[in-house]
Amino acid sequence: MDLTYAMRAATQDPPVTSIDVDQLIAGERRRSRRLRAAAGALTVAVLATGVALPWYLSQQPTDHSPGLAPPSVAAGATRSPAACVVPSPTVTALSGNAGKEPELRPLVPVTEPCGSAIARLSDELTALLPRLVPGAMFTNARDGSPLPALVQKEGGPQVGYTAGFNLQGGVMSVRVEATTETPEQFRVFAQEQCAQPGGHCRSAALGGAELLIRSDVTGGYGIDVWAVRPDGTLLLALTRATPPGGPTPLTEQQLIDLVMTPALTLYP
Amino acid sequence: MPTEQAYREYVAGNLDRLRRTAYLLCGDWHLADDLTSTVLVKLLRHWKRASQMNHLDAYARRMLMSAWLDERRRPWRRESSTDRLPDRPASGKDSDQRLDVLALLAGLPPRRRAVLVLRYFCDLSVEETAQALGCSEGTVKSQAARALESLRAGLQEGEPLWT
Repeated sequence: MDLTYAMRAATQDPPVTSIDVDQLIAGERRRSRRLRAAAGALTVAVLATGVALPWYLSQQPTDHSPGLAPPSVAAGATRSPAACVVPSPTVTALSGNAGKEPELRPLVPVTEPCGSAIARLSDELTALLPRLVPGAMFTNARDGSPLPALVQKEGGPQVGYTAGFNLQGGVMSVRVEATTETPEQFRVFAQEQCAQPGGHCRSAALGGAELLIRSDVTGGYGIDVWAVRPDGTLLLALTRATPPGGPTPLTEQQLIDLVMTPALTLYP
Repeated sequence: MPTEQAYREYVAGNLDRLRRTAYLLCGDWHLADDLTSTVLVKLLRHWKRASQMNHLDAYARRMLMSAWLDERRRPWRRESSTDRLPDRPASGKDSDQRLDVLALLAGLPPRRRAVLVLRYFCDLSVEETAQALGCSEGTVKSQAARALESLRAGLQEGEPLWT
């Protein structure tokens, strides 16, 4: 008997495998989603730092203008034109991003060109935000410029756009993406998330959309509202207080109103 | 063809082979499943790129070898004494032969074991084995020769594996 035969004989009659491909794929989806959430949280942290630092500096006396923000804040208030980092946001254009993440195939293909989507979403947000929070002064987190909103395309394999803003008492950001899950699938995820103790979260259904709401203002976390809508759009709106622990500049209801705004869609 | 469907089809067609290879490397079906899962997750993560490769099987095999060698480097995976007896094997000629080859492989260092499994179970050439292990062809030849020498040393003349 040779070694090859002996090895084949040794692997005869393997036991039933414990490997479940569905579980592997679902696990990878959860991982991608967590990575995106972490990226969002990191963005917010950077934004919050950007707001907190001038606030902190404004508390420090200076030679020329005690109690005022450093001139660099005002000097940066020039709006740069919105640019589409990735030329085409269509699904086929995702091949250039391959290799890092499994392909995230939108439920509904996105056909709107990147530049058009950025211009349209910028107009919608510019009109919506002052209505949503009357009296608030929104500035773009990207460069400190006032409205109109600066929307940019997200990096990564998903099709989506994002915009961040500073306003009195904190920051907020909005992300609009092509969802890879139906509202029913997202409901399962949301319920899993909210089943964890101490999560300060709840899931809800509203107008055919499934919502995941995380709110822990007193604990210093802030408010996140995710919505997967039946039109195939996933929205994430979040707000954080500056300094942490204070009241957030937007309420939970305002964020819910924002994610349920029909005009904020990838399928106009 | 949707990407996920292509991945599922690849897994369905190759899962058994990957598991058997992993089992020969580690000698334990549970660990073999762990190693195979590791490979499949990595493959899924890089599926878009991997599926366009000419030699996808070789890519998967190389990932399996890396997973196995990495696994052996982990301190908590090293052998330790235990008060639990292992499962008793069923008696019979086949199971004796099975134990023979597994016991002999278990006595080899991980890289030599991998060389034998790739050469004699996966039927790879020296060149393909070198690619799978990321080493030179000369290393493969010398490791294979030493591994076979070690196997022979553990056998008595006339035993089935002696030839």
